Amino acid sequence: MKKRILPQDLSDYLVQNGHANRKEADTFVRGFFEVVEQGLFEDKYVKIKGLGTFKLVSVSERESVNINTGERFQISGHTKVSFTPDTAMKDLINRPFAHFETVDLNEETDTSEFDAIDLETERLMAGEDFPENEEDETAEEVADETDLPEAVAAGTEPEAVTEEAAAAEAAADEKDLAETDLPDAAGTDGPAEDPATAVTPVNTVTPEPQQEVPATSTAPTSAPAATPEPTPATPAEVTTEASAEVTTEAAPDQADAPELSALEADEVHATTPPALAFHEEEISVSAPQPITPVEPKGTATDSLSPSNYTYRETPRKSKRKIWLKRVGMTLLVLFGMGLSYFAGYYRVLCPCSIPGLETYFEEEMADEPAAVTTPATPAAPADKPATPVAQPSAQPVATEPDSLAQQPAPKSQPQSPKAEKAAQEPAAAKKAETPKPAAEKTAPARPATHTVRKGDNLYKISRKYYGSDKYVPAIIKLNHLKDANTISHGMKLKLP
Amino acid sequence: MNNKDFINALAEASELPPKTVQKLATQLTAGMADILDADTSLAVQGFGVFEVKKKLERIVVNPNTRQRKLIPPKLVLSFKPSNVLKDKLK
Repeated sequence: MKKRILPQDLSDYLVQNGHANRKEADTFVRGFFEVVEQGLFEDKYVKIKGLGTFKLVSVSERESVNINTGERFQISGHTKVSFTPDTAMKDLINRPFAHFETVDLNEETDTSEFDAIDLETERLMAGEDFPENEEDETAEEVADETDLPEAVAAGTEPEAVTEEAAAAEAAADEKDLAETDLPDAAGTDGPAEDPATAVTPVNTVTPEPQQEVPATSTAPTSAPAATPEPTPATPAEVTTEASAEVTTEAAPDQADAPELSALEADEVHATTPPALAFHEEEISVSAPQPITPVEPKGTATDSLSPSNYTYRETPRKSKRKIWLKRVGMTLLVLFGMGLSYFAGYYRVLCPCSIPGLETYFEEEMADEPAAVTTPATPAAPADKPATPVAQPSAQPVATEPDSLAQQPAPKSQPQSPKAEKAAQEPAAAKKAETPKPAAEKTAPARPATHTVRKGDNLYKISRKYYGSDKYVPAIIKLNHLKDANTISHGMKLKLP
Repeated sequence: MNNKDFINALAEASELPPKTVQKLATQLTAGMADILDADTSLAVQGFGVFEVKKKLERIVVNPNTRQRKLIPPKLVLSFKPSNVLKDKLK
């Protein structure tokens, strides 16, 4: 109810602000409106600066119909008072909303959300579906529960943990379904979290008319609770062929292999955010988006309507969509990292796994003792290049117990960790890393020293004898060079 | 009756110098703007009611360009004459 103020309050205001004494203010305020009235009668309009314009507008006689009886009758002509506030007054009154601006709406702007809101308010006004709404809320709570741990896990933990969490949540959802018997709302919202959870609880899959999924069509029709569940899975399938395996696997295995299916489903989840978005779309039937394919949506709504489903508010939806996207991206990145680790690292960097390389390694090992006739050099500098190489050379032994020929190599390392190692190990490592050609190139006997000629530098020397720049530091150490950039003409350099 | 006429008439009626009346009139309108808000109305006996109405936001379409615009909500001062005033006007 509006609070009414009277002219007295206005005069109080004047008195309080010290513009006039009580008597003056009273007479002034009373006189003010009287004069406005008087002026209206005299001139038909009164213009007051800072307030606005009062005008008398004459309304001509017109005919109307009594809505109850249908009789026609005359409305006699009369005059009415119109008031138009001054711009200054308008602005003052509109102060609270002054920061709003008119916005141009583009073609793409989706106004259906407005309609959705209208619809919802209408529904609320009508007072129908109140229990339904409650269900919806509880479902949202459930959804929240699933949402949070998943997000946290995805943010901090490796993939496996996430899957477990998802699986656990799925199980929890199932329980919830069974216990509370909230058929549609809980069923749709819970699994809506991600396809992983969507796929796992599909124990009673109903045969939605989706030809893509033969597995699902064989399942019983009975459970209305599960009706929305296949739909999250199926759009994903439509969009990615790979995910077709998911349901075919998940449907027969059901709960037996939840983690496996969860894993794959997660992939799908990561690769197809639009599909997910689309699923979200189905849930909030009210707000369609341009991305969504049209035909599946029709079936989806069909399937949802019998279950008497109420949609969710749109802001929540978009928020969750963003979350799902983030989780998906994180999982994808993690998965990629894992894949590249296992596939890439071992294949490329582990020397043992390249077939034929071992043989070179062995050959080299056999060659080395003969080749290492070079004078003994100080031990200290040799250690450093030797140690990093020792690890990869030790690894093949560990991984390949068959190749007994390699045994001497690690054995010899502890025995003679001195100068010979320095010469032997880098060479061995090099063989290991660069296959055949390098091995052949360096196999011919190389001189123990190099006399520096004009135009030589350490890199050239290193390249000449070893075929790579890797041995520059070794040369520097071996010769106790202070400054690697200046080597003098005629200088004799020992070669590692 | 423009502002000047109004001030003069009011000065005559309230027996105050026109300058004071001008000042008071400015203060009064400022006070009205101050006091009136979305849930307050000013009822003047025998004259009418001033009240602030909230107009909801809406979408308008320019018929020529088909450009749609979202008009923000706003507060508008409206005046509704009392029945006494209406009767007098007849």
